[in-house]
Amino acid sequence: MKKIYKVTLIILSIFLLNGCMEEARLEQFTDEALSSTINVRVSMPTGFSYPVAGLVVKLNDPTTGLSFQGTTNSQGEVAIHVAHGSYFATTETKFTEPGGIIYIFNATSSKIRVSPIDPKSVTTNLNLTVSKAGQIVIKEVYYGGCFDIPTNKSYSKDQYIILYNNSSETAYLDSLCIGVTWPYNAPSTPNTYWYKTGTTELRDSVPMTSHGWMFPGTGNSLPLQPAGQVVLALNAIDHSLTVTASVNLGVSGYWALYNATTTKGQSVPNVGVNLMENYWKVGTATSYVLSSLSPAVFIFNMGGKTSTQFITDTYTWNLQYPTNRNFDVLMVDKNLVLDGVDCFRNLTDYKRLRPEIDNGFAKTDGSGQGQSIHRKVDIAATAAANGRIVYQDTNNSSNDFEKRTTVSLKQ
Amino acid sequence: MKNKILYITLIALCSISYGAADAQIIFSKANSSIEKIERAAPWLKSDNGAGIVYNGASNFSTIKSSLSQDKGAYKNFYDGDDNTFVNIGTESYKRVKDVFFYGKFGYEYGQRNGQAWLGTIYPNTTVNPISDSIPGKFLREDYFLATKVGYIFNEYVSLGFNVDYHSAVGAKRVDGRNSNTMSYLAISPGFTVNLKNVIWGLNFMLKHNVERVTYSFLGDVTGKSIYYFDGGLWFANELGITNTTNLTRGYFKDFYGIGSQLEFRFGKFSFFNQYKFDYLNEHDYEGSSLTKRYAYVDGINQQYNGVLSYKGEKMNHFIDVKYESDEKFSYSIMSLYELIPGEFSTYAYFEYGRTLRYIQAMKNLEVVYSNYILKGANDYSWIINLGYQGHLVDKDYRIFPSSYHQDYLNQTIFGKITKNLKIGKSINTDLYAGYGITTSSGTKLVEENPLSLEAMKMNVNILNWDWAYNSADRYKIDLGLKISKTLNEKMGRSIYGAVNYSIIKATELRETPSPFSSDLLNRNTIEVRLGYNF
Repeated sequence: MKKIYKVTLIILSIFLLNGCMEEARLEQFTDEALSSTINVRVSMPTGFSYPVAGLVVKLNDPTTGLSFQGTTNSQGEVAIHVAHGSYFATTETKFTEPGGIIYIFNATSSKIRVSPIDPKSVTTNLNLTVSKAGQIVIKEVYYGGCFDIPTNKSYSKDQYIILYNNSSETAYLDSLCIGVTWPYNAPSTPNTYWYKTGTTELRDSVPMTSHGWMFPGTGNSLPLQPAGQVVLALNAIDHSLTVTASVNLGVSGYWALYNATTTKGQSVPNVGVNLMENYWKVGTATSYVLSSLSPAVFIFNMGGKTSTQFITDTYTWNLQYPTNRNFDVLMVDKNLVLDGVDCFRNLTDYKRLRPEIDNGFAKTDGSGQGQSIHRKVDIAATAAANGRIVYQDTNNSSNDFEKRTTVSLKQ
Repeated sequence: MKNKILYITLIALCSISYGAADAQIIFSKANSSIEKIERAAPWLKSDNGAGIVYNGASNFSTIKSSLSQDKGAYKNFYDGDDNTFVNIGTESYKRVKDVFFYGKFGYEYGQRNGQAWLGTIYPNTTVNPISDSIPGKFLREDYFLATKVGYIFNEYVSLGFNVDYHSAVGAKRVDGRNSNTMSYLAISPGFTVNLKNVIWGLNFMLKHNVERVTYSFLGDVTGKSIYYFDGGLWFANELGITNTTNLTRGYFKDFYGIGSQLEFRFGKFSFFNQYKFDYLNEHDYEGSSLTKRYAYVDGINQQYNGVLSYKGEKMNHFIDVKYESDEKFSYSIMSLYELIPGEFSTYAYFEYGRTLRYIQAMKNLEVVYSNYILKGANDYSWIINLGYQGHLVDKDYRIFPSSYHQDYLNQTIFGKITKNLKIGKSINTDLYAGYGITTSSGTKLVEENPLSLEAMKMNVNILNWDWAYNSADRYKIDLGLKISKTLNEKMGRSIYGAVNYSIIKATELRETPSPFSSDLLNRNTIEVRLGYNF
């Protein structure tokens, strides 16, 4: 009987153990245990004394997609409580000087790691860089193509880009260049080949791949009036004749990224379509294409150089493929870039354009969706310009662009 | 592969030969079955291999096959619209002097039609799976091998071991196609001490389970996505498919366990107890090279089984108690891709600790009273079963500053009656009918500071579907018929055929997400079995 009693006690004590592990782990499940603090200090670049109070500082973890934000105090400081992760801090602001000059300030930090094994609080500095608002901006990029129901496949030969004069002054397209970065698609792991050594900061120049395109002319032969736009088509034909969901890009006055020799695989543009000048090409491809998932498009000028001189000065082996000449790039200095937009497939992708060019990213739902990214209207600026549409331009495509389910040329 | 086939063949042959070599009938085998033998000696179902020395029947073998199909709208999100399984196998108990053997070999072929949201061969394999939303036909093959050896060392002590092996392969026949391989091996040495009225046993357990999955996308239709789930299928990153999407996962589990058994025998009474404890250690990896660990799970599983029995001349009474507690703790691993110190451009994943994301606690209690009304040794005319089952689940997900909680309780009362009829001298018929009714209660979701992330989203439809399925009030009806024919009474050889049918009907849904409707839902299962005992 005594034996039975002992055994019963043993069994009961085992049941008392039940749930004890959960109780022990609850202390790992508190806000304190699951979070850390990132202190950010924002400062203006040398020569500028604009206030740094009230700036929204965003922290994004590209690995998990987690994001947090806070607002700076009068000292430009903010403490943000975050979940464990590896974050990039970003902020931007702009100020208008008398005379209409708009200064855009923005910054992206190096990676800030707050892991369970790191101190609970870390501090980082965000040193703002300055740029001026662009006159010619990228208004829309249609890169994903549409869906062709009869063939049950995506159709992406109808890619186009629209440039827009966002200023009150006439702009000139002469020698304006357009390109896409390497890599074609937004990387899902850090774009390490293009980082500054020992950092997670992108280099000061942008690797341009595949082809170099520019508007002809060297002076003021191609004016673009305020609120005027120009359409750049990769295949300047009427696509809607064969694919109902597509668009007509064979319109007189549009521009084609086409060369009968270097891109003979593309459709011959319709009569009346202007031709961009193809001043550089690498690889064996006979067509110029944008990534249908996540291109990074930018416009720039050559800083007064001829195209030959520009190529000579910027031609570089691709660090990722040092033995393969088909992947070589032109390194375009960030100060020559007028505008750019970095498109992501997934929110956890990594950046290819520096913060001075694009401090965010734009995104559609994927290829074959018939969607484009389109710049938002700056309502206040438009009202101030007496109805001339002014598009938002903060050099942050997360703020400036929106996904459109119907592309503008289809409307 | 050659070795695997060789092992399978050898064990299958051994399993059969145990029975084939049997010339001495020590009990009425013709009326027996594996279930009856294990009912009479609970040690046989324990994890202690040494326990098979308490096999009173000693020698029995069976070759069996079954075909089953289930279908109906009452299904969870990971279930197929309809499932079909074909199973063949053999099982055998054998005694050679002081050495007792048990062997089992099984093969199963399964087809699940319209299956989605399951990136593993079996559901609930991991709380951090990769998955997809694309319904398709999933085919799988399973191989089961098990053996136990027990040896009577002396009057008091018996030694033994238990080896269990299960491997499975499966693939979905639609783009995106997930192909899976799974292997499970358990080894458990043990011993028992027999003090006549009290038998005590102890065994140790080591289990290893690996499942790998790879998704293939041929790209027949655009717009397909893959989902990286994080903690109990509530949160997921939805990723479009590209050539850089990582579509391979490996789930590696180790279990370290101990089990103890204690049986009291006083005349016609016996009371068998088993308590076992498993500590789980799971590592989840992205990719095939095991360089990026993204989740770690640990947990404890505790089970208690008790069988109180009274074996009278006209009736046998049993009270079975099963209690299980299972706790899992899932951690997110902070794994960052960084430059290797001292290298110029070579990067690797480095781990920076882990953060607890998800806790899941499950408790299950089952109490069943069984009454066997006897009409002879090893033979009964009626079996009456009455039982209660309680199933409690708690789930908590946290990611600063948000928290989510769900819980539910299912309580089932069930009864079953089985009638045995003899037709002539050689035909035995078992007819049974069962009924169970389940009521449910719980909390679908309590949220605090819910996340508004674009990247990691709560999978609301899956959550609703799972909740609707688990929280439904329902009843279940079981009907069955088994006909056995004795071929050779002396040699104990018989054949049997059986058919079972069951229907589960949801009577009240607390949620009606797509594809559920407010109409009553049901799920039917039919199974046909054939076997040869010898």
